[in-house]
Amino acid sequence: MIEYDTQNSLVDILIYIFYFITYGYTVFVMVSYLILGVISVYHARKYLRRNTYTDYLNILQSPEAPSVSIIAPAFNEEASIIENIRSLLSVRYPNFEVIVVNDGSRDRSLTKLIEEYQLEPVNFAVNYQIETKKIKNVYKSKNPTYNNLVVVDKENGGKSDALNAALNVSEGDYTLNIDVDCILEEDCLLKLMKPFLEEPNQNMIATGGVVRIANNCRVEKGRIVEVNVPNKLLAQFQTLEYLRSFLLGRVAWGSLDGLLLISGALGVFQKELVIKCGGYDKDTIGEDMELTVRMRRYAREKDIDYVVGFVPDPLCWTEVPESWSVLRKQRNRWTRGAVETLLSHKRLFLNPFYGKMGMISYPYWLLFEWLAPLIEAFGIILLILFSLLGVINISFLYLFIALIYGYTVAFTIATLYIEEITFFQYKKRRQLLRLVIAGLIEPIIFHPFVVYCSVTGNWDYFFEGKKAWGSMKRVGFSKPGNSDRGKRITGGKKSGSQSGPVPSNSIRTRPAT
Amino acid sequence: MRQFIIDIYYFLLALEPRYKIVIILVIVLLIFAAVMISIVLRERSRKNSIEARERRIKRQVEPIIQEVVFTDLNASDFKDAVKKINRIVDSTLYRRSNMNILNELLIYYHRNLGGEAFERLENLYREIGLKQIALENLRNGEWHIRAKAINDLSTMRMGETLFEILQYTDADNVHVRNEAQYAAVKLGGKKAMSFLNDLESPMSEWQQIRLLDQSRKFEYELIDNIGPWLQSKNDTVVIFALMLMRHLNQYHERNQLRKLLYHRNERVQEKAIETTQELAYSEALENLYEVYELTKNMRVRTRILRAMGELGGAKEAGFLREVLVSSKEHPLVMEAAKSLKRMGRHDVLTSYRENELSEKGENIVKHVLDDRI
Repeated sequence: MIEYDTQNSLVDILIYIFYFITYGYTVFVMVSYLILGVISVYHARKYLRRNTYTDYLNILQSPEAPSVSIIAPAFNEEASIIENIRSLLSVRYPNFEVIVVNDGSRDRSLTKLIEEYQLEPVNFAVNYQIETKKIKNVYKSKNPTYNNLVVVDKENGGKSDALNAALNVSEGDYTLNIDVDCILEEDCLLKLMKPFLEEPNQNMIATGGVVRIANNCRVEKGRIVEVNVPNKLLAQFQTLEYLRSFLLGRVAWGSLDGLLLISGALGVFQKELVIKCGGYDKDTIGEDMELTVRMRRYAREKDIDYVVGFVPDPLCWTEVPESWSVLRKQRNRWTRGAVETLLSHKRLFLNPFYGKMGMISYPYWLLFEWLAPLIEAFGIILLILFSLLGVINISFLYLFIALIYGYTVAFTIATLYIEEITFFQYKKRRQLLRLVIAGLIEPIIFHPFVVYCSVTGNWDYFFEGKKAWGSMKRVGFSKPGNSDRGKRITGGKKSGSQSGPVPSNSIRTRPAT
Repeated sequence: MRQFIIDIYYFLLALEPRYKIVIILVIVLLIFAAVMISIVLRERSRKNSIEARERRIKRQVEPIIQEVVFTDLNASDFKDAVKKINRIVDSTLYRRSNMNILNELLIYYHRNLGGEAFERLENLYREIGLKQIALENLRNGEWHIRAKAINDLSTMRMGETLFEILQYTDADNVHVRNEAQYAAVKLGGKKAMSFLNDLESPMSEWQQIRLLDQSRKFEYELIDNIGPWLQSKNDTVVIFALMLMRHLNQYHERNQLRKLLYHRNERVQEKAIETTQELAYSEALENLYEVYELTKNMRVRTRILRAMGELGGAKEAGFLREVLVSSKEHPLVMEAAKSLKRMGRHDVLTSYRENELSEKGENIVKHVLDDRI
């Protein structure tokens, strides 16, 4: 007969519960990443097979191609605005306009634009479908070469306000929203528009694309001509992070129609629906995620059949911080943005009415994107405390940490393998080895730092009440005066004064899984 | 070493089961990572060797292809050239992969050439055996291989394979189906478009754009089947037929077009209005008034105003002025003003601007009259 030990103290019971939560949660996270990884590989390969023989010439020559407005909000971007607009104007697509919104820049952004693109104010009747700060002027170029360029000069109102102003001015059926400092691939728009056009039975409301890291890449005439691994270790960590996030995470969520975030750095939206939803929320820090969630919610509540897609191709290149302090501020902000959005749409949580979004995506974000770092930090503190008190077995703890480390490294290497067999961007063997080495170090240095930033982000949101953007000064992809031929992207020197709610448009993409 | 392994074995044996599991997992993961690194590196080497082989084959084959394409070879020289190419392809163990390289090379040349060179290249494609490989691939179990084979055959204009390709125009796999439809139009011209007569699966916009692009290369001729297509139960076929009408100036079946202005699908309605405008079908203006009153859809209404601006006369100018004065919807007011401008009725716009008290109305007229926008 089995004898049960009924002598367990309360401490023992608490420790068992702690074990169960910590280890169970960790295993659950690992398994979920593995499942997402497998789904991503399947879909990335399917995508590649489908597109090996795609000829974009048909659509490039077609008068029936839907119109797209490329929207680029700019705030104090004088260092790079001219080259970046040139890159946007040279995108391959038959029917598009570029709308640059100067959101009350205090530098010479507007003056430089006027001089370079021969702009003059026109009598533009703005349709204020969404309320925004006052638009001072709308400019068009005297030069017919730039007849698809529209520059909107408005009072400062933040990134969301600038995007809304552009929506009021735009004439396209779709909008491609990007960060002005991003470098787009030439076929970016064609590839992003394809999902909207190729599914006859589905109402595609938004698509996102893969954002890659441009640090140390060589740029010529606003185009990436040589892809390199960043020189700085911190940027290498982020390269791995972006690879995991976009290549494995978002591709899977896109194929499951569970994406809650179309990055602010690159996303195409059905304009009509964005306007019906009320445009971007001006009071949030994570306006890109907030809009994606709100659009999905709106469509579901109005019984509109919809899907949100994702293109696994690398389409956009962005510069990431190379200093720990800037990265800390960025991650802190992303955390606050995600928390804000999740809380403002808490109604979705396990609500079957919202389908996959309510039952899978939202709970996943809540548990593994928002709470994961908090649980991790809490777990580590308790583990240290318990081991100091001698109430848990320290050797098992070490083993478990080794398991997590082994899993992270294995997962990173698997990501590199998937990159190798799919999009194959890092062509030099030495660069690949650098990424492998960074992958070995990353769980020890970078991951704890990200957890720390996330915890402080939560602290700032809930206890300090910080809900505004910080300012980030950008040097840009080229220093003024340099020719852009063959230049390398250096990460940019960014100052991050957080003194008060200074509006900024320098949003970065958020590589959450 | 042996003793060391034995020690570890006994050490592991003495551990609690949970320790054993975690230790084994850690070892497995680390081994997996190491194996993956070696696979990645091997994959890299494999790619490099393929690239090197590709370069070598191209270097050897390209002069022969150029000779075939750009000079008028007699039959025996042509056969010699084919033999030489086959020898190069067979010179390594990777014949299949070499044939793929050759296939891509010929397709590349074909896309960039025209005239006689075109035909010589097509002959070469047949003689080397690439056509046969593509036909075999049509029966492959993998959809992407079938779709690629159809794409290759249409790119290389293998007209004699049309009947085989037509079997796939309503295939279950959407990618195979799309490629087959495109190839049918490319190889068979308007006659091969008969697959639209009873097409049940919907055509994507992307596919319609591709087919239209191909159709625009036809010489001008009436397409008899447009009538049945305009009456199809498949709305995407109706939309495509309207696009054909518009871009290929198919004026017959205008009565059918008039009926489509009342179609239940607003996308079809929009396309029908655009077609009415493009074909300058001013007899349908009365119908446009009716549809304007019947519909609440802003896009449809805007299209109607635009069509009126192109087709209309004094009566329509009056109607547009009425919209300009009374409508509260910005897109309608803007479109009415633009249409009046297109009709050359600046007088209506300026008098409206002088009499209209609202700033919004004035801004719209200023906007429309500003030629820089």
